[in-house]
Amino acid sequence: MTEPCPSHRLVDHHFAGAIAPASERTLRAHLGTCASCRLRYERYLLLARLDPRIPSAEHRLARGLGLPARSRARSSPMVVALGLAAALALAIVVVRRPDPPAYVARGAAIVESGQALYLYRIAPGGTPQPVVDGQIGHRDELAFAYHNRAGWSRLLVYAIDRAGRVYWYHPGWSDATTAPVAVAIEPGPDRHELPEAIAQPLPPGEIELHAIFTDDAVDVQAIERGIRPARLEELVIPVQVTEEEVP
Amino acid sequence: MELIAQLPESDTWLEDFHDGCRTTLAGVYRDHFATVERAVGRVLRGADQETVIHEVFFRLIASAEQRRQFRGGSFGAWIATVARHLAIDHARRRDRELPMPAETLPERREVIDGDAFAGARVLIERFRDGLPANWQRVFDLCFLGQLTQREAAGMLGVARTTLAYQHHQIRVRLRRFLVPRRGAP
Repeated sequence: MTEPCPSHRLVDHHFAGAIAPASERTLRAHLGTCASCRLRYERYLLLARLDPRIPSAEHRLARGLGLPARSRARSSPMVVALGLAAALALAIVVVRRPDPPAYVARGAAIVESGQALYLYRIAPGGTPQPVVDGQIGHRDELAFAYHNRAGWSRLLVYAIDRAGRVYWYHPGWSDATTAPVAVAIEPGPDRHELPEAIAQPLPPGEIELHAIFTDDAVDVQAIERGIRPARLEELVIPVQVTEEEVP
Repeated sequence: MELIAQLPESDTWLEDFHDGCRTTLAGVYRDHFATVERAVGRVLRGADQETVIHEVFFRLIASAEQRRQFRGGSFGAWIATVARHLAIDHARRRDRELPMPAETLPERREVIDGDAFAGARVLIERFRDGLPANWQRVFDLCFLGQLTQREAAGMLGVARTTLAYQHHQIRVRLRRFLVPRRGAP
């Protein structure tokens, strides 16, 4: 096993597509002499063949040369190297493993009881992505999933901006003359998804996403008046809304 | 049909190239990266291949003398020759290749590819074996097969948000497996 090298940061910067030309020259000279950095580089190359988020060689080397980089179109998939059929045949014996422990992600709040709300963003024209770094774009649709190990029967999800305005996700509330109640949810350890992705006119800046697990059929107007169920479990997720498109 | 040597787009292109015009050099990189990649790839793979690709274009950017060595004709053929020579020199310097005639290089490349291929397969198998069973299918479809999340969700009969979560988890684990954080063993 090779020892870590301080120049690993140059390798990391290169594969982030964020290396300066002078540092790229340093990296290229260093790779000829350092087994640890070469190994890290080769591992990144393998990762790049599987994860299209790693910039292509053309893109990375353009950055290192100080040239404009084209879009990060991926080259031929790993399936060309391994063969999808061969890859699918790797696991001859399927071993059932328990679900992984609750994963605390930035952008999702999890408390010890095992209740959790998972937040996904869908940029215009994009696909659902977990929210990381607590950032969403102001045009994003939001979708949610939850864990309900405590077995509550209902859920409300809403956002509050810095001015105190409330934006409802679940239940949806588009008619001021109505008062929809907390949505029914499933109990148990599995992760369940709320069915809709919803866009709200969120202002740029910090908001708080609130998830209230309860057994009461409390309605949206009561929540906005500050009337809360006697028994509840609440999760709060701070989120930053940006005006720019979040990649 | 008579083959005619390709000429640069215009006389000014050659002048701009010799002068090191940034826009022209960016166009050279864009138009001929694949050519250089192929030429170097006949000799070297992996980090070495990318180092030599970098070197080819760096020399063109940094050295007017290097640029003036191209005086017209097929630029693609010229840069492929330059790239191949640099790759051979690099390989010899690293003592990986015995000096050998160029026509034997493709056979040597298969051996190198085979070693690298076997190592990659072992790593991927080990990673996949460490995934929960229901994530292995997501890994197979999205990472090995490069299907979109929408396509994979359809094949697996799961919601997109479910698959997006699993995809994210797998990506995080894959990165940590292949490229540990700096300072980690």
